Amino acid sequence: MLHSKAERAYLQQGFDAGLRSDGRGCHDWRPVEVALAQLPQASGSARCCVGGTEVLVSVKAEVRTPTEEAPGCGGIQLAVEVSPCAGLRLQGRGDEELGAELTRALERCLLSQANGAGGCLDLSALCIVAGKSCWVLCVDALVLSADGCVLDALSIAAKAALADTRIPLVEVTQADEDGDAELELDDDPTHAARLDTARVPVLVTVSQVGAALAVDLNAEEGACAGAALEVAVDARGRLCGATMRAHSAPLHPSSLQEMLGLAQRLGPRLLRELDRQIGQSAAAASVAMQE
Amino acid sequence: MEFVSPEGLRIDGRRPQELRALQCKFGVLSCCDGSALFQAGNTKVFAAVYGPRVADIRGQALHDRALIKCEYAHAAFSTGAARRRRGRSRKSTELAALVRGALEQTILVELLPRAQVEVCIQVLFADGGVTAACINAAMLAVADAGIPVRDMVAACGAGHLEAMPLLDLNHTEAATGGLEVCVALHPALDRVVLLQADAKASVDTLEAVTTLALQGCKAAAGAMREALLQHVRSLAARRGAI
Repeated sequence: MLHSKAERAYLQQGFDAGLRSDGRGCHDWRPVEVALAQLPQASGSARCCVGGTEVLVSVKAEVRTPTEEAPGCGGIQLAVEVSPCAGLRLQGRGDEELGAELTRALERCLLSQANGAGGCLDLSALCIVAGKSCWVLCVDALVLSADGCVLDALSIAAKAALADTRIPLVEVTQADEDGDAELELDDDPTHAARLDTARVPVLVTVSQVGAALAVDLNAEEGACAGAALEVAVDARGRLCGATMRAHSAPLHPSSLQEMLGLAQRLGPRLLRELDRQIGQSAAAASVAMQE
Repeated sequence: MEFVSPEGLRIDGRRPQELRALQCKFGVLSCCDGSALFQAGNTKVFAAVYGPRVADIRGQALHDRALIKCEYAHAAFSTGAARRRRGRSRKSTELAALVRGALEQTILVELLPRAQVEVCIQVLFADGGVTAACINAAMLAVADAGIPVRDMVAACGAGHLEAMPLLDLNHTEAATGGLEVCVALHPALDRVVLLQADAKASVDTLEAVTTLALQGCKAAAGAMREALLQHVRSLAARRGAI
């Protein structure tokens, strides 16, 4: 989006005075709306809207063979796509590049190592038969509409979709002594294992605009932001990672501490709101299922 | 596999000449000039329109009419089981070209010289009839953007299974590889804008299937028109015009 110097100066002065063009303070989010179970074909899915930004995440559980490095663990595969509808008007392969960038950022948030060890999800719970078969969660995200704060919205939707995921129960019947086990899946959707997502963090992008620090910049505000730091924070306010955004302006080391502190204060607040909405949505779904 | 039961019902419970439930929503995306969601059964397609505005690349602008651009993408989770290959395939390029062709004949391009209209299509779930759903979604988004058109364009598919023409095939029915025809129609002008048949068939069969698809187009056009009118009425009420 193109902005004149005067427009940018206007926005920047607003931030200095603690006021934004839509009436928010510097540390306020736009309304965050989360809805679960959006896609009937997925094991779990969620849609998240933050103002004009809209993302959709689907989780599909597939039975595969575990890797040799981690025979007792399942896996997670992440992919983010940017829809041409998103309004970014990227030329050529720009959407694929942005998708890859967002995928990496989300991977860093959800998986700490390549095989997921030490991450926020207990991957050993996804194991079916050690060294033979395990569940792999394919997390596919789609950015439908981009109006700033896309990565934060993606991490919120990913957490909600993982909380919505139902993994069918598996009965292992030992066929012979060589250990070629046969798997029998339970089709009943009410009998399904759920993931423990309590420790899954969300990403909070803290941006510098002039001298002020702000969260949830919309597309216009993002155009006049300086440095931006993507911070992963869990429900207890613990840091789970921090990355400077690619193409971000340089940052003074002294402001780093301040930005991390802000993310640690705001992250748990965002997560409480998210947990409330997940709880509400799940309760509505279980009522619908009983009827 | 039996596609039509002795009682005359298809696998999803429809009659042979019955459309799936259609649903149209407008203004579903915020950062574009017009957007729509078109749903036929499980098939779900978003469309967003940007424009009319100055052409991105000046050399591409046409001095006597508008330039129509079309982008198409399907979500990784849009098909049921296996994960599809990412990126632009030949099929998605063709689909974008088909939609662009239908829109070029529908939009009054000569009223918008040197301008560009960009239509972006995103498939969320593909359960058969994707081409038709894309054209319908694009038409609704163009209408939502307030771009002048000659007539509405409505598309519908039909197929031939068990020696019987069937309207609006779903994925399971289309996967048999029999004849499937996709037709787009200007219902008021009574002009066929697009016809695509991708299997060997006798002239009689093709004619029967195409006739059925054309009837489907008219029914879809009716539903789309009704949804558009309802949307405009609610907009007018919100602005206090009525």
